[in-house]
Amino acid sequence: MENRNEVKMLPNDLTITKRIGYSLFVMVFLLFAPLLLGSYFTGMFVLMGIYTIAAVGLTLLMGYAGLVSLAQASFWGIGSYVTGIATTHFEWNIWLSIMLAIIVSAVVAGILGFVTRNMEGHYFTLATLGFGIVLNIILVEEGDWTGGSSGMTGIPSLSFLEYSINSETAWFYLIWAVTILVLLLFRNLVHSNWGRNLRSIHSSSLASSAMGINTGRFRLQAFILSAVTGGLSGALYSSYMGFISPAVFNFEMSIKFVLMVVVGGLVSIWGAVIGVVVVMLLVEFLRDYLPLIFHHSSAAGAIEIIFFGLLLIIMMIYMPGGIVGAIENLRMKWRGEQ
Amino acid sequence: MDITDLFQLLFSGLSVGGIYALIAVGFVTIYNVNGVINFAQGEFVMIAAMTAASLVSAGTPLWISAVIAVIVAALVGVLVQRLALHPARLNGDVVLLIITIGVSTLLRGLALMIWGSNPKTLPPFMKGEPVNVLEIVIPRQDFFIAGIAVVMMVLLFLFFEKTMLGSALRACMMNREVSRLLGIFPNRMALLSFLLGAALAGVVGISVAPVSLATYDMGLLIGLKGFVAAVLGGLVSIPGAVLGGILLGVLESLGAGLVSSGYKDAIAFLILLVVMVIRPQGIFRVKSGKRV
Amino acid sequence: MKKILRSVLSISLVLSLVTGLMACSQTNTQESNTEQATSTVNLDAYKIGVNLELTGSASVWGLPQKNAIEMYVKQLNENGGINGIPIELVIYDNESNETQSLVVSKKLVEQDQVLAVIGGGTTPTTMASIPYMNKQGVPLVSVGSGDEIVLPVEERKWIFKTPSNNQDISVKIAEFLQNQEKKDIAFIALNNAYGDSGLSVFREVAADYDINIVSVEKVGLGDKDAKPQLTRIKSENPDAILVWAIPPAASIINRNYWELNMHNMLVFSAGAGANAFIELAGKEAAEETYIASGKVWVIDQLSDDDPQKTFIKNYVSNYESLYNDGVSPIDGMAYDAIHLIVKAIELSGDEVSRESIRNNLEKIQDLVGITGVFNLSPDNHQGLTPKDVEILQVQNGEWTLVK
Repeated sequence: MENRNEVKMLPNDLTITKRIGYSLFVMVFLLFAPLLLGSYFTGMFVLMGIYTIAAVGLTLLMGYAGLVSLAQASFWGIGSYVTGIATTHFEWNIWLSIMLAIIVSAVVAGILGFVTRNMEGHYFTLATLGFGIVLNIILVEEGDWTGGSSGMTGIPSLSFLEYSINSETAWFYLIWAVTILVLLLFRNLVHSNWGRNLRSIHSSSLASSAMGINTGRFRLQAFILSAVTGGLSGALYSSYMGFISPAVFNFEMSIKFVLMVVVGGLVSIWGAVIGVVVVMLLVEFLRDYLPLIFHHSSAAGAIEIIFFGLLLIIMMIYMPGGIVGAIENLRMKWRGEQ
Repeated sequence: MDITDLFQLLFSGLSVGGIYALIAVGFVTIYNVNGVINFAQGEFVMIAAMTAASLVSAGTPLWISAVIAVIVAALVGVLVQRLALHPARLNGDVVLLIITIGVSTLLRGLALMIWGSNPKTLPPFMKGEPVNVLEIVIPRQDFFIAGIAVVMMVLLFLFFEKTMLGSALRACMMNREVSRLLGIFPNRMALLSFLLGAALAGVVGISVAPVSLATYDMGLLIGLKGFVAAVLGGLVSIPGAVLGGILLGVLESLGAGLVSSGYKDAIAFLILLVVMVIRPQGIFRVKSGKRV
Repeated sequence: MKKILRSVLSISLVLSLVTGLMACSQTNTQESNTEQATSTVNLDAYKIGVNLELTGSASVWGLPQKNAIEMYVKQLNENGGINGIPIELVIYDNESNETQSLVVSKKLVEQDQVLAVIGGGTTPTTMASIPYMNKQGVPLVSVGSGDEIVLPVEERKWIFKTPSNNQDISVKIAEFLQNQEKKDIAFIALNNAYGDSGLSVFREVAADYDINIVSVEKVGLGDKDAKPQLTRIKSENPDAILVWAIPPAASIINRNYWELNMHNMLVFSAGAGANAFIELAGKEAAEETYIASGKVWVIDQLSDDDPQKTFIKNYVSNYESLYNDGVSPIDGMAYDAIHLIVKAIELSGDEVSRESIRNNLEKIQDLVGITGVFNLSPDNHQGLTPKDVEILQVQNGEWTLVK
């Protein structure tokens, strides 16, 4: 039963020339994207980059450790609020605040991960859900620090020396540089010994502990890593938006993260970026075209929700490996026929 | 705050607890047969509440609307099992969990499209001024809720203990593989569990709509509370779920009345966390009920 | 070999992005000043953006508000628009979510190039857009109620709003309570920005009117039961209970109040005023409940010299016949928002731009609207007074004006 949802690792057999080709393509795209996209879409890509950072950690946790967390939006929120509080209440430098945000996320995840270390699949998910809701209530109630449900404003933009980053284009370059670094880091991580051990726990935790792998430790580390990406992403988000409020970091946002990760595919770290981009672009597309079909924007809002529900169900039934998994299957088939 | 107020809080808590208990029972039934935490349970509540409210406002008599609403909820439950969960039953627990999240989103969207975003009302089943018992005020609808909770519990008890179908379902909840050997079809039992779970949620829907109104997005929170109740009871036992529900309702009411109304919802989920860490088998069960 | 190549590629990719970043953050400071507010209009239509809560927790208000705006524009365009030029609405849903609200504002400003934006419909969705709208120089007329939307006015150059300030509503309620000789009151606040803002403003006002707030309770947006909070209040036995909440929570409080046999005075703020208020609370429960709100429910009881009377009357009959649904003061606020913008476009004459709309919004005087009579100025981006708030009471199942 445990083996059913085991997923295959992407083959690591791309030739070097192909690799250079792909990298060059991505590089050129990212460099010139803001020029082609216009400022609105550039802004959207900034958000995509921010979401991707948080989604990468969640992919690691869900795809590699096999744990579903419904608290990713909460770590996102912790990152945002720590940055917000440090910069506005204590007037810390923004970069220091981001460092602090990451550390706090890691510590909180460490504690939560420690107390939930023995919980199996469903129980862990429920525990993260409970944590997420409690955290949200704390954000609302501790108004002296968090601004309560009205949220907090005035979080400064990132700056390099005297240059403040305040155009969409500048944010685009910064966020995608960070996103790519995080992606590469996690990519190397999952291909390391550590990653392989993590995956073996997911396949069979009993067998792994028999082989002397400390399963609890790996789980805890994966959880902390996912929280760190959540915290980093949240810190960048708060600085980009300049405004945060508890309603953004709720249960529904956690579900949105799960949706993005699942659509992209849990089989590979790259699933995160694909999931985020596809989901965000789909939303955008639906927003533009549904009102034209239905002539009634409220019905369009409902149809968007219906669409996501359906997408999630159909993906899970027919493509549990997400987009990356489906592409991989196609490639295998094509190879087989050759 | 004197002793009457305390009893007042206790009684309010009991009526809310009865509601949580019914949802929790539905959860437990579905969880144990299908091995999935059904995130869409609250959505079944919503569908029944909205259906009943719109039927009544279209002129259908209250009791007939209520019966139709419960049937509709049960049918939706069956459809969900057949169309969404059954095809993916071999895909693993994580996949099933995410599917129920998808189902809950889908149903919420459909409700928004059909019924819009305005809250709807359902007239109470028992009309008239609230009753005064020893200075404690009890709304008449609470008697209905308490009554229906008791009736449902008795019916469930009879069903599980005295009928073939019920025993089969119970056997399937305890052990799927063994029950297959006994000639019980797990697939049919899975369907039955959804029918039962959704119908129970439907009963909750028509009971709460007169008290707390019906909105398209009411399912999420009420479902989550049912969840907490089920975990309190250990997730595997029906009596545990009932006690868990009542306990949660009372604790919430006392918490809001005595401690802080802002942190009321946090109380429920903090209890959830603490119970899961300290007693993952639920607070009522003595022996460990871990499924292998 | 592979590994080295990979690292070199990765690093060069990141470096190139950082270079791009440095390059544009240098030029950027001049850029942002020049791109402001200079775009003038193509004369086919005046494009106005709408950023409202069509789904999510505040959609109870968002949909009727959208209806009200669409009705206004439909009638205006049928009558030849503004000097022959029609209004074109671009409507987006912000999902009652702050991030989405900012995304929508950006889309309206950058992609659709609208002249002005209406929305968000709540305080948090508006607050999220304010820094952006100020920076871009696009007028925003909010339908959110929080006073901080337009205050401090120096930091809200491009921001306006139509709902009465909590300050004005609080003053009106405090005056009313003083007249009724109610001194000790309990306050129930919705656990969100709306309730918070109401509570903090009323606290200040109450001190001036010699009113004591003896207890403060919170109620959640999705709460099914407020009996514990009311039980607590009951034991304090205050003279009156003031509730700052929106439906369905507000309606549940009213029901629970009746269910607990309470006979203190129950007063709601304007946010509770859904068109189905009485039905949602239940006829018996709503009896004798007070609300501080606008005039749409009591037009027939207004004196004939009330300047708003015919304006509101037309609005109510048009809305009811077009949408087959009742009106509430809340959708009237959105109607006022588009009304203000159209007025500002008219005042702009031939030179219509974002800048001209902003400047002329500040010049609007004695404009009769649904919520009140608007008198805006550079120091006042809201323009109403406590006089525009009325106290209503449910008597025999109907709203009655309390004089």
